[in-house]
Amino acid sequence: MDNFLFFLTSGLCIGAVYALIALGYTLVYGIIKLINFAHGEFYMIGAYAGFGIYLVLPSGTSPIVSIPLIIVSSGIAGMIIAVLTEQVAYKPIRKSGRLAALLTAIGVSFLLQNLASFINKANPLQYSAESTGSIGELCQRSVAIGGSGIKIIQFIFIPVTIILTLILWHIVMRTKFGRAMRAVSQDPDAAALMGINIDSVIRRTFLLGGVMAGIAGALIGFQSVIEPMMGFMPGLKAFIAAVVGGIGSIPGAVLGGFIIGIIENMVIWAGIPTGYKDVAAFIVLIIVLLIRPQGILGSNLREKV
Amino acid sequence: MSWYEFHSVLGSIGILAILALSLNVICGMTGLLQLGQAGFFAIGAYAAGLSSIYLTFPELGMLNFVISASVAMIAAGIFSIILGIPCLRLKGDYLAIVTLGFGEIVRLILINLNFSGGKMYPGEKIGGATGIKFTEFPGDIWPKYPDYSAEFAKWWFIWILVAVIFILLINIKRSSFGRAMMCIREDEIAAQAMGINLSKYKLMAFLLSAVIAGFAGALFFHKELAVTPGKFNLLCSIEILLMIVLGGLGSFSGAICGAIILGMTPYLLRHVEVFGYRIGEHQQLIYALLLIVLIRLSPNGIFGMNEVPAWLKIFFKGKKQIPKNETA
Repeated sequence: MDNFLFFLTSGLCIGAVYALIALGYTLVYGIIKLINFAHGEFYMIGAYAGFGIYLVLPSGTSPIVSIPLIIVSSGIAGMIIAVLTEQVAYKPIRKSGRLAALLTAIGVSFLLQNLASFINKANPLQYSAESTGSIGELCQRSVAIGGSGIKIIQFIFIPVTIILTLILWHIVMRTKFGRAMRAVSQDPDAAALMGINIDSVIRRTFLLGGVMAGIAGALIGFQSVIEPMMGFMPGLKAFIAAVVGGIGSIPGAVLGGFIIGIIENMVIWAGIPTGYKDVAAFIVLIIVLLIRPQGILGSNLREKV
Repeated sequence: MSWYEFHSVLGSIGILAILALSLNVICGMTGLLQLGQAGFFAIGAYAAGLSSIYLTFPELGMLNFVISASVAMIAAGIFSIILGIPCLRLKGDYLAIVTLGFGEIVRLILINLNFSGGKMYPGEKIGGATGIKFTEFPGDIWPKYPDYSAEFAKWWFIWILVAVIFILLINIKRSSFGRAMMCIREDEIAAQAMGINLSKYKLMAFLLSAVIAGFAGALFFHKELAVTPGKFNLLCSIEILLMIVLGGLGSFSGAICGAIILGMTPYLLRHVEVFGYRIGEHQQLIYALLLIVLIRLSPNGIFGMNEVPAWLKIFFKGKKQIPKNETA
């Protein structure tokens, strides 16, 4: 019970990753009202891409160069896969209704998971920690907080999330493209009549979401193993985070991410077996949907006949 | 394929068909997206397994199956009401996520749950990741009844039950309850305006669906005599959903047809190789591709919403005689 500070820090760090993924969910859901189940897989592919760049780089590269390089390339990989998914899978069925879109999203998610399982025969990958000063070794270093060790690499999670959220906030609130995005999310038909190219807005929304999911994948890849199924649970939890914070709201997604991250660590702190950790997020979701269906920071929308 | 294996495959397909029928009640007829049907399936299988360990009376023979199946159906029903009362107020995607979460929660809890061995395996721990399994045959435990085997669910028995449930559901579809459910699917607000109690009918549909899925779980246990929590993952729920999408959402004969097609596919394809990869080992990949392609090419499935597909009617009767907007 005395290592409260450890679980709080740990929750904040993992919450930052959930927040990054949740931002992509909230953007996509805000625009086309689709739960993009494949979003967790963009995150997984980002992690794999980061590892691929690490393998390509010469072994003596300083972590100060290679860590930003890995993060950027993961973001690019997430962006490419997100745009590709949107163009190939979602665009043709956009008019076929919500159920068709949701089922396609589930299909894409399973497809990407199974394609990724061809990499290294689905065996988990990890940054090698053999030589001192390499990324793997740096990632395994930890400092003691509240009685237990926290990996120092986790401390870059929160600043990265804050910087990316601010950039996203600027894009959505201060640029012309952001204004177009908000218009499409309010009323796609009216936005189209005002001369907004909806296809392009949706594509660029997926692009933004993919970048952030890819970067989140790179961050998680530093501290734990990379495997094909790694995106599934964080993807669900990030969606829950987006709903808890208020879907369609950027500050809401970040707040929800931190809430889910902290709660699932507090559950372990309270002495509940680790196996039930993943249950906590779903219970939070049910409670929030019952008490405040629009989410903590969401705006109340009434159903129109 | 030996006869024994063939019978086993037939039995598995029958259980899949019952699951597809059960999901069709809630997804196809009522239009509520349920992604956690594996959860009720798991509850049914576990309840049947536990009741065969704690509540078996070998002198009763086949009646043990009735006891065990009733326990399974009651357990699934209770859980569906506990889940349904708060969650059926949610709409569309949110309900899908909550039910998906329910399916995962059931699986996670079953992995972490342990039971005592009861009167069959005194002193042993069962449950956990290995699940419930008859390590000794029941006939060996009760020497007085050497022929007693809890393996009640033979393939023909399962298929008789598929037929019974199919006829039951077709009749429900034609009743006022079925029409109310279909009305909710088409337009909730209009249904409410016509005096349909939304929460009551949604809960009833949810309960019916869960009870049938629980029954399928009981059949599953009495066919395999073993159950592990790992089987009831999200893929299991998605597989069932894929069957009814393939058959046509809302069509019960379509659901059975989809179950037969998807259930046979892995066995037919297991020796086929593409680029040195065995297709049978990549069943999930095939399912994922199939789901994406099916929705794109034929969103209404083979049967559409009808029990007898329109193309079959055209084939037999000619085009002119088909009345428009016919259902069931």
